[in-house]
Amino acid sequence: MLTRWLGALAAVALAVGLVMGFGVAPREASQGTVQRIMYLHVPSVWVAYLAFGVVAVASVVYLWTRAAGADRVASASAESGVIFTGITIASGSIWGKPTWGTWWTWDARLTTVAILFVMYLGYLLLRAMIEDHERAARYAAVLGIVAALDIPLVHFSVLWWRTLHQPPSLIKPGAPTMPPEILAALLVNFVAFTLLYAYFVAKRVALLRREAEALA
Amino acid sequence: MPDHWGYVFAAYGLAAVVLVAYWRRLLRRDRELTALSRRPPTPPRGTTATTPASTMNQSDLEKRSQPASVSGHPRSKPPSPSPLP
Repeated sequence: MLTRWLGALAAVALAVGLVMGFGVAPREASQGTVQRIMYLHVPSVWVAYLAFGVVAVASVVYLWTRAAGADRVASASAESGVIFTGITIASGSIWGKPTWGTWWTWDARLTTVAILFVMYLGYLLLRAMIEDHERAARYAAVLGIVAALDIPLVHFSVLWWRTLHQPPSLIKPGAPTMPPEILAALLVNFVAFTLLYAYFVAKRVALLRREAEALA
Repeated sequence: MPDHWGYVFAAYGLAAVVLVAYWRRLLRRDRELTALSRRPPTPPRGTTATTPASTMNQSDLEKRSQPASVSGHPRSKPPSPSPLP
């Protein structure tokens, strides 16, 4: 029931986010319309950070308590994280072509995000490859904690190294510097994507529980 | 900079396809698990037949009492009936 409500809320929030991004937020002066990809790209990477952070916390809880619920949360969150990281990379690449003149470049931000994506793909593969469920959960928990160390590298890469990618506009020290309409559209999309992530994780955790019950 | 609506639609369209595909995968798995839970439990191997003999008709019983027909590839006899020295 809660999952359905989350799904409905996420759908409404996504619709409002689209209206805000395409109807309320003004056309950006230097980049033009293509800047509207930001309302997809930035919330996606935020959800990817959140998802992998949840994987790390749930993995620590699993290693500490051996609670199957924590393992299911980690697994579900990793799946969603991989999907949102994929969307981040694809939308960033599409945004990069008209603004930077290239689909891809091996700069620090893009490379660290690609590493993050590959590590969590490996996490999902590891879970799928080991038949013994307890062993798979234990190995995946260790990998989930180690892979999360890449999140601060991704975020601060634009500050620590010289990159083609712009520095963070929102999650940074000090107040945001963007116009209020653009900031409002971005924040609504943050909420919408977070609700969508919560819906996906709740649904997947419920399915994993039912799968475990069916196998028992 | 000129407007690049094609790039904008490509980014949003791709994201929509991926998210909807994942959502549909979750729903399909949900339906599969629901169908699995509604199915009656099958008896484990090695136990008695699911159809009791009392409910079988005469032709069923006659069929079961006949030797099984040899079809496919029958196993050939060993070349030497006696064991090797």
